Amino acid sequence: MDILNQLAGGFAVALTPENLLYVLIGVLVGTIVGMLPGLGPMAAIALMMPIVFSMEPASAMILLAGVYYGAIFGGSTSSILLNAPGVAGTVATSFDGYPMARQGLAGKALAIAAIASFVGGTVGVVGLMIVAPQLARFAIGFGPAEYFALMVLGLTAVASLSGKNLTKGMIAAVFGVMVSLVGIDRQTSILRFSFDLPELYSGIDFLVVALGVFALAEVFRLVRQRQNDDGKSITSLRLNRSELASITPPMTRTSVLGFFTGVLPGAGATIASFLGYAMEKRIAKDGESFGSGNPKGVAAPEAANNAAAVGSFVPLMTLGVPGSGTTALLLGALLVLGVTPGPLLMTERPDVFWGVVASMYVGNLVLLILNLPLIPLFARILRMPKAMLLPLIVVFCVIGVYALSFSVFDLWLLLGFGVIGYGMRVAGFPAAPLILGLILGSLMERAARQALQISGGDWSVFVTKPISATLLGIAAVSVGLTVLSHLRRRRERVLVSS
Amino acid sequence: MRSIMTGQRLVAIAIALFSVGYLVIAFRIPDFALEVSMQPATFPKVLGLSMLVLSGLLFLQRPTAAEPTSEPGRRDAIVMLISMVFYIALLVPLGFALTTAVYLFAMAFYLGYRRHWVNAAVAIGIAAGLHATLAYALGITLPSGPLPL
Repeated sequence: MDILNQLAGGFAVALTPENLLYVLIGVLVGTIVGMLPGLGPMAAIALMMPIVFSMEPASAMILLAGVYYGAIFGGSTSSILLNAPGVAGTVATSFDGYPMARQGLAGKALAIAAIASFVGGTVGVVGLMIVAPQLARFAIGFGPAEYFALMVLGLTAVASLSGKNLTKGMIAAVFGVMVSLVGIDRQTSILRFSFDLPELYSGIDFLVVALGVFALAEVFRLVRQRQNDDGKSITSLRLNRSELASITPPMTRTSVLGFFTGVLPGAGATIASFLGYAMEKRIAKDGESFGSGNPKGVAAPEAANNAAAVGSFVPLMTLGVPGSGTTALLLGALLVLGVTPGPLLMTERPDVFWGVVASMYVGNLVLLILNLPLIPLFARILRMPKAMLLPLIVVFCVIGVYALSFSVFDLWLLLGFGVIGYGMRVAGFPAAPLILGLILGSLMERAARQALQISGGDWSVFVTKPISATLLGIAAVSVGLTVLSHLRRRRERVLVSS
Repeated sequence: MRSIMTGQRLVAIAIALFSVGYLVIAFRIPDFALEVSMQPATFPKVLGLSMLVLSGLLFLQRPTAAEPTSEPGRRDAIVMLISMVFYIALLVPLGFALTTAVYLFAMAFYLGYRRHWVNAAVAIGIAAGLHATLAYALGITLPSGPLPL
């Protein structure tokens, strides 16, 4: 009953005309930005962030969460129509979505994606509602040592965000932590890495880095491939009853799987979508037709990635530890808004937590009833000339940074991080670990210091407290497993090539 | 025979040099006069050393495929960078609206958009619209330059 009461309170927040408008704007903007190949949820959230900084925290999160799942949905549209996923989480959707579009079934594939996203999102929200309060109750007794261990565990997400090369992912994460230390040290007031530049005394703004390495760096990358892709035209969106019946079981199964994958630090939407796809391919009687336009192959990854997107809110909201690059951005936004997510969030700021939960219900519904009829219109955006789009993204980045700090120095920093982000992409370094390191870095240092202060400088505190030791153990095992699987893959590659 | 100096190795050397520079600065961070649980230089030193070790690992690794770059693509990226330098440098002296309109028009033209009147209308419309929205709706004062805004 308690949960239902609180959820009712959440709906009271989410259904105010103002917040309803924010859900609508968030979902729309997210869908549009997510559709543009190359621009994913991270770029979409980074671009919207300057707008939310002056808003109420609950409204801001409602808007950003809308952008997040809107962008994942938008990514599936470009996966299906162009075979060019805007987001890693929708790569698996293109396996069967694009073949369907080539067979003239683009409309059906898009409708399946929309329905599966809705189901996945809704199952995810129910899961969030049930799991988050339990986890928060458990985490309420966490001290600095446990938090430090949790953040280490959060950093192991780098492993799965690294793609092919773990070393490069770790380098990006360490660089992110380094950036987070620039400026006055809060505990001792000693300046670090500020090169006597007063502009750097208060540190490097998180938004400058996020817009630089995601949005601006993408502009540099996209400008290299300037021709527009031709999208497949959209056909009927209607599904018949037997088609709906055939995709319902896969959608339900992969939603549950996706949610739990999303809750785990480091797993997230991409892994969830691949896991969901692989699982359904194995289960389905017509598994061999996966990859050549099977509707179940669209429904499974779509339900899974949307459920996982919601699932990733569990560690973010209850522990204050992001498990993915996108939730790291959201955590950064929350901190700037003066809200510290953690086990106390639900009691101290129920409006933020339950408002976001309720708005996700609303958002999923908006996504379904608004996006489905608007899909043909959205598809036209894919044909917007890149020559106009790219300079426009630059202008949005510049406004975003300038409106926040009124500092031209920050604009140069933005450009610098754009170049760094582009260089990272060219050299094959992933950008998401950088953001994770940037957000977790200074928090980690603070937690470690507090823990050491309480223990009187005794470093063993991190391994003698049972929860902290367990968390560090899980982190070690997860890193160990990743290293092993990387080594095995490399050996296989060597064997194949010889 | 393939050269020993692959792109990845050069990157690894650059990162190693960066780490050394970082460590030099980290070792120069003064200690806090009072006793604290962790000196301000401790964490940076650990980070610098980790980065150095990672760059060593990267140097020893078999190179993974990086994104291929084409010559015209690279030129476009450089033009984009230079145009942004001008955009930022002129933002305050010429004002947001004027700089943005010129930037949008010039870049769309460079990137191959040939319907000039449409381009001009879009550039001016967006620059003026953004200025008006920010200034009047959100109360954010942007540099106005010589224009009487």
